[in-house]
This record gives sequence, C-alpha cells and structure tokens, in this order.
Amino acid sequence: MPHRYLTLLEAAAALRSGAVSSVELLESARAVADRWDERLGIYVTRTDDRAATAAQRADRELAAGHDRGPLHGIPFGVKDLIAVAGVRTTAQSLVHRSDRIPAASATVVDRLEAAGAVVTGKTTTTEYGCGLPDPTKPFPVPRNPWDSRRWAGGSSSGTANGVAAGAFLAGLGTDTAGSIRMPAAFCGVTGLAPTFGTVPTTGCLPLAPSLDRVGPLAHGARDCAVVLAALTGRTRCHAVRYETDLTGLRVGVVRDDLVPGADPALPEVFARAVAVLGDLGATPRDVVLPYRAQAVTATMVTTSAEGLAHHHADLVDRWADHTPAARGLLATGAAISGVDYVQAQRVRATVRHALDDLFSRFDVIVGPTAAIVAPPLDGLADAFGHQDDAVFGMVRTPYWSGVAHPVLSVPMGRNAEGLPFGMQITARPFADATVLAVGAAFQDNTAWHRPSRPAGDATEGQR
Amino acid sequence: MTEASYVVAALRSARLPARGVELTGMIARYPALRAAVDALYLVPAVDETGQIGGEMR
Repeated sequence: MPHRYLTLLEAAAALRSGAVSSVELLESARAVADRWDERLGIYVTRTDDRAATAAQRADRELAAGHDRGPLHGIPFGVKDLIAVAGVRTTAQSLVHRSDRIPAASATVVDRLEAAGAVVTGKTTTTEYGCGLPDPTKPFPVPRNPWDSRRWAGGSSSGTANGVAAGAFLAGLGTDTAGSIRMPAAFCGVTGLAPTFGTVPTTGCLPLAPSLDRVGPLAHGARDCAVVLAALTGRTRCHAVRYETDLTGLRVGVVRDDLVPGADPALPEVFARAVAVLGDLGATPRDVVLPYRAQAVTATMVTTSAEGLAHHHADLVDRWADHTPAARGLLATGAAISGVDYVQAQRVRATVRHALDDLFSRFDVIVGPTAAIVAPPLDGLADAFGHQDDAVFGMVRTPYWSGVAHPVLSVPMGRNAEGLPFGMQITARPFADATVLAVGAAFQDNTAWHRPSRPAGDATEGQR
Repeated sequence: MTEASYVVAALRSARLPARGVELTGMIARYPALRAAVDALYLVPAVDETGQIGGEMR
C-alpha cells in the first residue's frame, strides 16, 4: 500500500515492522506536497530541512531500540497559529507575517516532538483563525481536496486538507467556534476538539481564550486518540477502551439540523450513520438541544469581544492590512457592551447546567457537523465581505464551543457529488475517551475515514 | 440614538476606522445582532441552589 494511503497507526506499525522508515514516510509526504500544495493551499511555510533532520533522528533512534511511542517518526502538519521555534508564525495575516519568529515552540509542539513527531510545516488558516480566504493577500487559498473550487473549511484549513491529501498523517488545529470540526467534516477527515482546558494553549495565538482549544486532525479516531495522549501528557487519563459492541450506549440524536437549505443527501446519510451505531447495540433516541440559538449567540458574542480585545492594537494601527472578514468579525466586538458579554457568560453557564441534565440521560449526543458540504470559495462572503450568515449558519459547531464538552467529528458519508459530511459525537466534559471510542467503533464498521483517493482526482477533469 | 449612529459611535469609540461599504455592512448586520443578544437576557440563570430558573435581570 502506498504510504499516503496509511493511517497514522498503520504507519506506526509499518515503522516498527521495518516495512517503512520515517525518512520514506517523509519523502512520500513531500512528494504529495510537491504535487498538490500549490493547487490545494496546504502550507504557509514548509520546514523541509527541519523535518528531514527529525526523520533521520527518528530512524536512528528506532534502530537503536529507542521507541518514543506511536507518533515516533510520523509526519505532522501544524496550523500557522501555533508556534514552532525558529519558524515564522504568520497567522495568515500581513500584520504578523514578517516579524513573528518565535524562539520557543508552543507546549503542544514540544510535546509532539518529544513523542517523536516530524513537523513538516505550518499549515494554512484564516487570518487569526477568524477571517475568510482572501486571494488579494499573499497567502495560499486553502482548497478542498475533493473539489478545488470549494473551500477546505476553516480555520484549521491546511491541516485538514493536508491530512486528506496525504501531505502528512496527522496535524494540529485550533477550535474556537468549530475550526477543527468544520474543516474535518468538509475534507473528510477526523478532528477532535478536546475537553476545554485539557490541552495547553501556551504558544498558540489566541482568538477567544475562554473558547480556544487545540486538538488533532487525522484519518481516524484511533489516530486522534494517540495524538491527544501526547498533547495532554497524560496518557493514562486518556487511555481509550475500544468496544466494538456498543450495547447499552445511550445516544441522543439531534435531527433538527435537517433544515431547509441543508444538503438533500444529509437526512439519508445521517440516518445511515445513526443506524450503524444502532446495529452495534447502541440505543438512539431523538433529542433537542437546550437553548440552541442562545448558546450559538453566546459563542459568537464571546468570540468577537475576546477577539477584539486581543487584536485591538493591531486593528487600530493597521486596519487596512487586515482582511475584510476578520475586520468584520472582530469589529462586531465593539458593538457588544460589557453587560452583553457578561450575559453571554451567564448563558454559557446555564447551557452547561442544562447539558449536565441531558447527559444524565445520554452517554453521547450525535448530529451533523454541518448541514451542508464544503461551500464554493466564491460563496463564502456576503456583499460586504463578511462571513455570509446563510453559509456559516449551516455549520453546527458553535453550539458546543461555549461549553467544555469534547466533540469529535468523523466522516459519515458523501453527497451526490462525492463531497463529505461529518458527524459530531459529543460526551460530558473529560469523557474524551468516550467520544473517541464511539468514533472508533463507528469507523470499524464504515470506510468513510479511509485515505482512499488521490487529492484532486474528484475534480481533475473539471478544470 | 439610531442603530446606525450607535454602530458608528461604537466603532469610533474603539478607534476602528471602518467606512464606506464595510461600514454600511456593519450597520446592516447590527439589528440581527442586537436581537440575538437581547434574546440572551431571556435565558434563565442558574440560581444559588444550582437550579435553572432564576431571573437574569
């Protein structure tokens, strides 16, 4: 099997059997990047020399019997909001691109590298994690590997399309209002927003510190589990007990995502995904999320207010250098009063409390990650250059952002054009192992997460 | 104060120099934002006994 069709754990096994070396995995990843990066916009900055040194060291260590664990020798992408020592952090912003070269890596990067991971480069995002792709700026536009006329999703765009394309086997993203889960769904990979606070954000450019999470994207839930263990530094606490039998698992099913404007294929795709869980013994039962609209508003109020607070000085000094979408989202914070912000935090507390009650009756809750597939790149902005509410309102991630709960997005099927849908699996706070185990059980019985097609093949004949 | 003048004043207070079409867009979006934020005040609070149901204001 070509290396680009391996999952992280399959590659880890191949490294230990001697079927492949870390240098060979890296060469395969580089070949993908050489072919597809310009078209798909995976990287802002490649770190080829650094990666080569790390891969050679990984091979030497394994040969000497020094095994750092499942990430040893595995090529990784790192979102360009996360510091890698000696490599510029642009945050995909003109304001940052020339002079932000960190002396130290983010804690999560230190932990990945201590676990033997090979950092291949800094991946594309949106400005500060809150803008939109802007072809007028000197940064790559992240495109969808299944149809390059469409968006990869954001803001962990390059990590998601890089995993899907085979440019690396896993990567790091950040998630404030859905920035791991949305691109994971649009690109057909698996992404985890871990329980808030369990993965350190030190060294990551903040957007909204009371919402920001760092987490993995990879092909499968099992891959994400081993990355999470490294990121938390608490392997034992996050050990996942995989069960192929889900008998007794109480699954809340959110069906009110199936709204007008949703992709016509979504109801059947989601019903089939829920049926897979039922076939494994789980008991699905429909559920309505409490305070749904208000929880989303609280997330967006928090994002804009905290985001403006963090980026205010740069916005004032260099307004014109920012993208219209980032300006629009952050400037919204100026129209939110201090009282409104506090009220949003009180709503978040109420939602958390209501969810405590809900999770006394359900072990996990599932629903579509988005009611749509990856949107066309020319359909993301409204007439004023801001995020188009008609598009972003179809993404179902912000509800869970304002609470601490872990959320896993797994590929659950495709629409008539072959574009992926994702399913969110959520459990109570600190039950990351539960969402990963349920995701793994689902993926043991489906193939949507498998690395299967060369990047761009879906649109090769359409350009 | 009209919604337009509120948005202009809020941006000016924050020293954010939005103008032209961009400012028009922010003004156009404000009523929906305000309505959504006002709805936050209708959500009951978690009271001192840990139950949902207290008045938020």
